Amino acid sequence: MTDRDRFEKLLSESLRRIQPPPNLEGRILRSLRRRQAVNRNFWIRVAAAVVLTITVWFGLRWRDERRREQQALEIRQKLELALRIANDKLAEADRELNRIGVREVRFEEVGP
Amino acid sequence: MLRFVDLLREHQAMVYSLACHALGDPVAAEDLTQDVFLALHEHMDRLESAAHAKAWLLRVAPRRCIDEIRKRRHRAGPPLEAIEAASAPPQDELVLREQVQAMVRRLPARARTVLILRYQDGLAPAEIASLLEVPVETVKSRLHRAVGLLRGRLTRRLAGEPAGRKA
Repeated sequence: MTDRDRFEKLLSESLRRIQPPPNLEGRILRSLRRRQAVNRNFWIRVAAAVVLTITVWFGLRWRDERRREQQALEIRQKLELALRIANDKLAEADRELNRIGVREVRFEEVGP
Repeated sequence: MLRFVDLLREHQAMVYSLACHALGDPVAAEDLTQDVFLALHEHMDRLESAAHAKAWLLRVAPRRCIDEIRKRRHRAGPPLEAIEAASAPPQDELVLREQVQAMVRRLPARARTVLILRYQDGLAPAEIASLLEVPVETVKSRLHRAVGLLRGRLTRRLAGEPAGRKA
């Protein structure tokens, strides 16, 4: 065996495989489970945030819609009231015209 | 179907030993091994076979070792000359091996990693070159230089030893 061979043998022996501590496998698996739990919690938080955002968005839209419906109802009621008042006034004017014997009213006569 | 636990059981010694020799610190070697296997787990869906997984580990682990050695450079131990001077003459093979290991740990990061891959795992220079993505000639030259340096230092160290004890 030459010096070089002897030295290479010494190197191989010095750098031979070192066995890991027996708990290394368990430690890595525990760390992996912790990381998976963290990832799972992260995605649960993301999902909750998405659901909350969508719920709030739909809620705001529903509230605006209800507000518009309410405004439309109020306008309709006001319009009906105005039409009823105008109808009463017209009926009253018609009765007055009948009372004084007017049968026909030309538009030129009532215009501004 | 590749199972992470099987790969961990089969290759943890390879990665740990590489890190242990490269860093000379069993605790840091455990941390590095853990990081490498957690990264492996993230790549599981891209690995096609056990051989592919081993190749992946042999590519990633040495690079992590080189990065870690460079990070820890400012915390490096005493220079090689100090180790040689302070150590008692090797009384037996065990002490001699420990001195060789200490000398290996004083080599530059890449040369150290190349030497460990060559002598721990018996990889050919071409395989090491492929793993580290450097030319084969570079690997051969690093090996040649590292072995020559270690041999010279060890020979000087053993010069005073009785005949027959030289490595």
